[in-house]
Amino acid sequence: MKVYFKPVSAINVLIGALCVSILLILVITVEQQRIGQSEAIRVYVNSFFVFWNFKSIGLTTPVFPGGYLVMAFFIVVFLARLFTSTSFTVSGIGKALVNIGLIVLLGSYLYTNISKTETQALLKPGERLNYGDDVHAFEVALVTDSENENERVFAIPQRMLERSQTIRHDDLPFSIRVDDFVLNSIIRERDESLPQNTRLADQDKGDSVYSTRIKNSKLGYKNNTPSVYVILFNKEESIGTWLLHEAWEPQRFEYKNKQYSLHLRARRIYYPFEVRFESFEASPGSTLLTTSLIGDNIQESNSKETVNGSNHFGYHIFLEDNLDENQASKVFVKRIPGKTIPLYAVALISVGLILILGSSQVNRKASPPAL
Amino acid sequence: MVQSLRIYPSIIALALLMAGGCSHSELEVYEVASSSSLSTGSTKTNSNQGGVVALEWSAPEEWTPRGSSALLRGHYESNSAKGVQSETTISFTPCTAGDRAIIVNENRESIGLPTLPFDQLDIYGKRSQRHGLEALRYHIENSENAASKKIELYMLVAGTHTWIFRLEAQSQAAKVEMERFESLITSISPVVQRGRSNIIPKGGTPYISFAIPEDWVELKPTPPRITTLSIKKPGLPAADFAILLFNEGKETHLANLNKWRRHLDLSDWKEHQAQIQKTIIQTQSGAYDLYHFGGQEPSSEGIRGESVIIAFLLRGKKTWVFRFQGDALLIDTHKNQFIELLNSISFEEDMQSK
Repeated sequence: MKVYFKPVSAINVLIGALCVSILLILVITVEQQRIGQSEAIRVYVNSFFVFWNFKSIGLTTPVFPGGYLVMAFFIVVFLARLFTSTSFTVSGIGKALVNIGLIVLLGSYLYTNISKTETQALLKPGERLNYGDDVHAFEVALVTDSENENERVFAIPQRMLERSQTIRHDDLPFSIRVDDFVLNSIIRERDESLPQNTRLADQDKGDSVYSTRIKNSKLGYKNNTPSVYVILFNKEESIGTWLLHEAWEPQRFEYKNKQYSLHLRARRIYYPFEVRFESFEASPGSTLLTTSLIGDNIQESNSKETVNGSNHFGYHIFLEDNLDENQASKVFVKRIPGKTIPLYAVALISVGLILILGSSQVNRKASPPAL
Repeated sequence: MVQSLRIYPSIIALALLMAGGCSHSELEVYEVASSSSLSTGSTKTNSNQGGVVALEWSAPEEWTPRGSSALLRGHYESNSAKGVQSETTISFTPCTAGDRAIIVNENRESIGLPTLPFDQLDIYGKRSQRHGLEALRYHIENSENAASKKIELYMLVAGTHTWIFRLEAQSQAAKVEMERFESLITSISPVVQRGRSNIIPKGGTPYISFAIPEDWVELKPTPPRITTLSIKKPGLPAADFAILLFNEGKETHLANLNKWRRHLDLSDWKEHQAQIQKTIIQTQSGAYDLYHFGGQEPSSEGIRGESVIIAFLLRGKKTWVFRFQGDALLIDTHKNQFIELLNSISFEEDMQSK
């Protein structure tokens, strides 16, 4: 078995992976000047591949491994080293613990980053909600009525928007093409300064304006105002092109006697519970914030009173102290699973290093001095 | 040869890793409770602006429904042998404060009244809170022409939109129709939507109304305040009046009194001291426990120029708090107005029972 892991565990492979990591860090350092720190980390570190859109041929394809893939590769390398170089000596156990610690450390980073959610929403006392706006991603929501008087939502995630994909779904009578997603944009009136080859919308709010890219916000991802063009078509006809802008309200249209709306918004994340903002006392010197969590059954008996900043159902919930002009408070709901795992990983690595160093000291004392 | 074969598992592992790592993004499809039911008249404002406000109501049996649309959420007529006695419309429309002023003035003009400047409309109307929304009420009547129609406007401001309940009644049937309109207004309640959806106002603030004393200016209240009023006099800092609703009963009154006493650097009261200082004000809406402290009262830090009047009204398990705070001189001279305001208070539940 060992023989199969040997090639991956070779020191050359490890050095190669380190070189790719250094190159990635170099690219991030350069790119954060252009697209901002949070966007650079999202594009180059928190992704498996770095994609490039070759506009001339209309293809978006991976061009370089992203941070996640490099980390996953490191995990494979450390696993291979664990299989190939473990021996039942003190030094061998130390090396194994270091390898396990590194695997756990990288694995926990991947797990936490992929599964964490951070949302925010504005709430007034007395209101409740069961979803929040993702602070790290946007989406296009196509909403239509369902048969049971509910709303049916087709949410197109930001990754698909960035890759200019065409989306088809059995329940939709048309295909959706998303194109020219811009993370931070402003809307301009069409006039003589309209650049050549600018994509133009022909429906609703976008029929007399166009979107222009501006520098990404340095005040946080959520402060960007993205825009995207959405083209609806089917085999027989082109239905139209809509320009969506995050600051705009949903744009409604009718197709084959059915109502639809298109909206570019922060990605909506639903919780398995509801947060209710009970009361907020802003009297001088004392602030009392209370939230209640209600389970899926939405029964008062299931509610849990909680003070600001509590953890419930694995989520951390807190309210921002200051009020905005809408008289609403910002509610943050975060879920960061596995955030304590790195501590155990560091403990394993530390114990491993102590064993390796201890064993080398013992060996040095045991070997006779050279004459 | 064997050596080259050994590398295959590693290559396969890497290939699987890369395939798995393609982070396949997918269209997410799900259902949520509808946020735009036309039957009850609801709308969803931008989540960043506050949430959903869906309302439902019961129209009086005597009124005949005349259909509805996306904008006109309700339309009723009251008929008699003499013809149409009243017409009530319920609309939900994007509306700014300026738009609301225009609507009021258009209605005034329609019965021969002059338009009012924007700043006077606030005084002309009656403000209150209803289900956590700002409620505005305008009774439009031409006193010089008794035969003219009477119009009642009731507006509920829901973020960028406003619910407008409008009654237009013939003068001879005005009294009866006004009563029917009143019953419609009291029946308004927020729609509680079930399911995985949206922000729903629940347990909104009960309806309280009162007469704002002359010279007192209403300001935008910040939660948990239900109402904020301010009095300004040249050379003196503004006095501040606030209405709050606490979920606790009588047991917390002393703790709250002492909290506000400490803001004025005054020593805490014991239970019996608070009892001695208490004055009971009996009004149509209930018995208020009134406390007045600060100002000339000696304290360890010397004499402060601020005083506070606090009135507690216990209703069920909740306590309404009316706090009047500011320069001692200003508070003293306006104490009577404060008590007049308490006298003018009425609650929704009381109106319903009447």
